[in-house]
Amino acid sequence: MLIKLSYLLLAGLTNGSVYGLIGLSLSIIYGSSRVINFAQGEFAMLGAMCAFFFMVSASLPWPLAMLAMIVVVVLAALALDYGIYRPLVRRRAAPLTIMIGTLAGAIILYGLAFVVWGPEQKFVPPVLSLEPLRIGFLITNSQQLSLIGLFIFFLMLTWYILYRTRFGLSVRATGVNPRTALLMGIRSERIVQFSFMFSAFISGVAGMMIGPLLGGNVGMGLLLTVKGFMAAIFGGLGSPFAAAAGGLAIGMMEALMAGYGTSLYAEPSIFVFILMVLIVRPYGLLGDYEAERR
Amino acid sequence: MKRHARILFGSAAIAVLTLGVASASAAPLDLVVCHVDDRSGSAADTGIESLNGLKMLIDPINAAGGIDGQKIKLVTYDTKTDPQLAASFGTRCADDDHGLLIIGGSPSAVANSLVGVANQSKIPLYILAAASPPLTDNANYQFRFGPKVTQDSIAVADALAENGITKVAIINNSVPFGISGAASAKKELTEKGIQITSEQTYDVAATDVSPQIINTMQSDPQVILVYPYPADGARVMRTIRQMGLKQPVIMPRVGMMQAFRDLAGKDADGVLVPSSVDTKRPDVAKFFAQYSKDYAPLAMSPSPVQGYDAGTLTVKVLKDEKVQAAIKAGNLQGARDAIRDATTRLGDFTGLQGTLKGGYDFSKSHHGPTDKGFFVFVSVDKAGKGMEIVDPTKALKAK
Amino acid sequence: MSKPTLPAAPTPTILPVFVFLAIGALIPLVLESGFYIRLAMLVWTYAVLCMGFNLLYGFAGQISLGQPAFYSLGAYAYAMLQIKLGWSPAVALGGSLAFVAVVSLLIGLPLLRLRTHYLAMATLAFMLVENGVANRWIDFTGGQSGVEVPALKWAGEEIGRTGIYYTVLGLAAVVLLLHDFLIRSHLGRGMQAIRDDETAAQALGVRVDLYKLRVLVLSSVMAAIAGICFGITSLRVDPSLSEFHVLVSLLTIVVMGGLGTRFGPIIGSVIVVALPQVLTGFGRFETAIYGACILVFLIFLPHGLSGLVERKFQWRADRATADAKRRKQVLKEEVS
Repeated sequence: MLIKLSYLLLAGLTNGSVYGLIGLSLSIIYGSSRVINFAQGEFAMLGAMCAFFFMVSASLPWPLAMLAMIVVVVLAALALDYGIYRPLVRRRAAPLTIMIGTLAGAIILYGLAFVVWGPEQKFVPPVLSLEPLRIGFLITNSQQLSLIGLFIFFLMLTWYILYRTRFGLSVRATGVNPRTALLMGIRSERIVQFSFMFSAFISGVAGMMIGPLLGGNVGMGLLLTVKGFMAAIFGGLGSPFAAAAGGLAIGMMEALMAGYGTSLYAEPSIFVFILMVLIVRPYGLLGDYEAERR
Repeated sequence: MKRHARILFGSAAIAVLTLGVASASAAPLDLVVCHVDDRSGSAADTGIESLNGLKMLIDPINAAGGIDGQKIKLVTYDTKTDPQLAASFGTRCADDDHGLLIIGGSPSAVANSLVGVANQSKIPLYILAAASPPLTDNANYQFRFGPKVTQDSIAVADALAENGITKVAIINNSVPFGISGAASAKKELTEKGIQITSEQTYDVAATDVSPQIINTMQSDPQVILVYPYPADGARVMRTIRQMGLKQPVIMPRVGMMQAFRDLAGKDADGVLVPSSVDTKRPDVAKFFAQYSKDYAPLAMSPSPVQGYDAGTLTVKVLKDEKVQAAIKAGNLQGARDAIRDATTRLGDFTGLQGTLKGGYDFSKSHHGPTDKGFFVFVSVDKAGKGMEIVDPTKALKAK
Repeated sequence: MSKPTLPAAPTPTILPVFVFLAIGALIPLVLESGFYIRLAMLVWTYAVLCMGFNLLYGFAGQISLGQPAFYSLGAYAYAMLQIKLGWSPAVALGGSLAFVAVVSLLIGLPLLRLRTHYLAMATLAFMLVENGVANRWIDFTGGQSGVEVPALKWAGEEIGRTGIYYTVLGLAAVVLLLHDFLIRSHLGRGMQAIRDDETAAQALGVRVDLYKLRVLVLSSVMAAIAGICFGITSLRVDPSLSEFHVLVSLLTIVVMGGLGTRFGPIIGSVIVVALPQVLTGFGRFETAIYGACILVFLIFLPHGLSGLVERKFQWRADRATADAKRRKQVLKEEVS
């Protein structure tokens, strides 16, 4: 019994880390620009597909491949910023219109990736090992475990940047009130640009690490985007940590539901649960921060 | 007001132009055959492979002068896993290209909407891989080359029952393929008196599927039946082996896909797949050798063979006297009806799909392959690189 | 002094609505090919779906990404009421619309408290739930095979493609007239007030919550009508009606046609239905080009094609007003 519970918790933690990573990166962009990015999962897709491309097609060792991947993903983020976000903001588009813009961006990224890689599922080589790894009575593998590590690492990095650097202070200031921040001499465009790049970086690295497990496929972005959305609204869009916690919670619920309840209806039931939570707490479970601002 | 009228008239003209104007047909008819299938989207492999298979048959015939001096015109549309788009392309084939016949529909949703088109526009439809059983219920214009998912399930249930297996666990993903595959397997297995010890569904985006495997393990099955997509299939196999489950695993359809075997590597070894392709037949082996030469290396897959078989029957039917008479007379609807009739008349044959003991059975009301003698069992080996036809009895006893 | 000679605010004429409907009515007479009639049916179906969304988002500023769910629910209810309960098509139509209205009321009551992105995501979750259940509850919904929609009959005979077309057109006409009436009436201005500033609208006596709920229910019912149109066209309803590509088409239509415009949904639908047919020649590049098209419209034509046309009229009206002002000024100067 205890063995089963530990397995469920480990699975919840692993899956939750993936959802949390996407939720975290979604809310980093949201925090600075009030835009929900429909192309977030596409960054992860690019991460996985670039990993395939640079490690298999170009046969680079993984650290180099990762660097090359980061370059591609950051370029994609810049394209999103210069090609979609800025033109729309200059035309005073509503936030939801910018959201539709990012959806167009997601379609373009998917379309281009399709031109390059075609529709097949690709084998993304693991950076770490897929061989069984025994921890006490639990058997898992290091590639899966690394996801949890990655999640913790990026949480800490985000926390450090936001709360321990001057730059982070201006990021937070922009999130709270862009106009005032501007008056204080903070260049909000730079902040938004940084948040696009940083969140693409997180998603790209996450994509590279989940590629060997989920399989690389140009269509994989949408699924991840949707999970990230649910994570972010469940925890609260306003804070990266709330969104990350939301992802973790969804992963845990999925695992426990599959373990002790019906695995068939796990997904719809969890979404219904999220809707019910939103009715009680309209800004997400941990969304006090944003609610106070209204 | 005048300005209003002018602008509105202008937009009306644009609308009409966008829609285009139908052209009148001339006698005798062109031999237009449409391939309407997914070549991008989630089921892209099936459409690409079936089109290649179809071309392998039609190209040589056209090169040799066609049928009675007329070449077959192949019109192709990519449906992108969008049923609405599929129906539009199907109608475009029927009404705009003046097609005689539609070949396509590998995903069930696409095939579903093509069936609607076939019966509304009264044009014969050769369905390829689609697995949904009701597609050919009360069939009129539609015929299926790929087996129904129930036929996979029957083949599996038969093999299990013959070998005295009584406890089976099912694992499937949460996309329609997984859910409906598992439901049909449950029905057929239960009918044979086989107990389903556990039913587990997992999300395709879940990186860790151990909760589902734990439940499967605790239910202590003799055989595990899995309905995944390629990538998550690899994940399920890895977790099953990682946790030390030694039971035989049956994975209909996906088990033989290249992507699955690549992703799963050595964990794919021993996976059993009911296959409608029997590469022990010399003609089938020759076909795949040729396919690998012309397109991409491919060891075994039902889609190209389905495309080829559909092509074989198309040619046979187009040569039919009554069909030729209608074509020569320029009677489009007459030709389509003649093709449908000829398909039921000439459609009991053994193509490259199935074994020599079974084949297509289009004269029967279900317009599809036979239940018996259509499947062999294939086992994956050589760390996912190889596949071999095996005797299910031996493979199932290998525990 | 004489009364000011300012022209009255330009009241938009209803004429274009009838022109659109007349073109619609003529299509089967001009185009014999069933393919074009099918495309025209799809245009009307999508236009109906998007008119609801246009009222909700374009005018009232409340986004719902759950429209495909109502679209699908409408079609399922219409089919099920006939198959399982043996209702006649007309009664099933009423019944399914009432059903969707109740569902959207139940969803809307709690969810409309949410704002912007939260509302968008929550309604998206609703769509995923609906789609998930439609796929999973195989005994009732038929799973991925879906259920058959009984063909429409007239005096015992199936009414054929042209008959179905005019049925769809009739339903679309009702929605179009309602859509247009609402926009031109004070209700439309009330909705816009909510979109622009909820608090101010409240202060001006617009009952914000009630308005939002009404618009949501109305737009869901319109989506359901669209679903029924799709059902009677394709004679089958399956879970693909509430899949992502429907949502993408919906958003593309309103963006290309023009959000918050009178005819954006129709013009956008023409483009979205025709575009894939035109793009088949681009092969692998199709999807990327499709996305680029949306983006170009979003950035360079923020009010869509319809906005372009309507603004032209607006500009004429503005110029008329300016002329009148100038004349008045001249008159004043002459008097003094």
